[in-house]
Amino acid sequence: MAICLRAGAILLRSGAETARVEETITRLALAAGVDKVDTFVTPTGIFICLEKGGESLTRLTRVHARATDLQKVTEVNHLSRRFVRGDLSLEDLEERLSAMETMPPLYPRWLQALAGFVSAGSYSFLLSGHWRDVLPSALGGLVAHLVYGWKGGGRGGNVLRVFLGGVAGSAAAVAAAWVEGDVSRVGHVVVGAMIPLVPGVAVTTAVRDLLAGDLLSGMARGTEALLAAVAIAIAVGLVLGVVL
Amino acid sequence: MVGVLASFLSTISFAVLSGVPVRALVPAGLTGALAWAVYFALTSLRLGPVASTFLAALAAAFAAEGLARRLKMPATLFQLSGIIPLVPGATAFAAMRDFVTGDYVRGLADGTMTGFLAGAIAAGLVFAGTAVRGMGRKDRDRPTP
Repeated sequence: MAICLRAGAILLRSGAETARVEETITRLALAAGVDKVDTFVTPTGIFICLEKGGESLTRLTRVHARATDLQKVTEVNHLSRRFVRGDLSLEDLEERLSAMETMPPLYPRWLQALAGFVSAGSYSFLLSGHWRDVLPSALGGLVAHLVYGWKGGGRGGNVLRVFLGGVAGSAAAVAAAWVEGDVSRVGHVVVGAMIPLVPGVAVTTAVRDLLAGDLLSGMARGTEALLAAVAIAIAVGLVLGVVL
Repeated sequence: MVGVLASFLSTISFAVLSGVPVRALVPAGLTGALAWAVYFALTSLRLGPVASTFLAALAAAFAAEGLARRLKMPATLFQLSGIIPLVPGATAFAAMRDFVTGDYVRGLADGTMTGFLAGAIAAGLVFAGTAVRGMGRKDRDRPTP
């Protein structure tokens, strides 16, 4: 029971789809010898009801912080598969899961910052095809990513962080373009700089949830993605309003 | 084509930001590059941006499902990567610029276009998802309790 909840919570916190969380919990519980499992998962909480030998047990857990760490999703997926196949004992599974809760992110911070830099730069090149757009945009992306990730895996205030990241990132991008001496094509530069903030995982999971029939979660995640997108738009608008 | 390389790089680095496992990075980047290549080819054939985006997202989503099955990893990893190069950033930016400069009519037009493009991406994912679900997902169906 505790293990099911824990595995579910890790999945949910790392940005897995609802159907995946429910499926993993169900599989784990059935493999552990429970007669009947019912789970109800939303982006903010997990309910599990187990039945064994006429007794039933219900628990729920609340999930507050949500971040994106697809490595953990993949890893839990892998562990549950091995457990169901019988390659992994219950104790081992528990140990691995608790190890995972304290595991640092897969990529060190400098590499993530570099990724923000590169993704922004190459995206602006994709849009405009001008080499000179790359550097300012990449700088903007770096700043956006750093400001966004400033307070680590935050509680709730995600929209605010996206907004601040957006303001700082686009301001930096515009400034860098200005130093380079060509503000006319500032559009591509700013768009590239916003790429590290795009709520890509929220959009894909929202679509997958809706497809799987988990309407509640799908709508919730869609709203999350929309909020982030609006935050970016307002941030860029603000900076543009000052510049133009 | 330099664009394909740029989309590959952009996708991979975004994947790193999302914590995609190392083993999946290169396939993820390829999915992104595929999406961009399809989009670029179709727009050069003078197909509208919405249709091109839709078909590119569709191609990427199919590739993602295939990769996920082959590598036994969640499809989200690759779908996410596939849609990154298609994000309607430029149009969204144009809309914001128009609104800020007071050109509300063009702003509305660009904003609507952004909505359509985002919808096209979602529709591409949905189509591919439904099709794949229909095509024998039996062994991976949710276990009945």
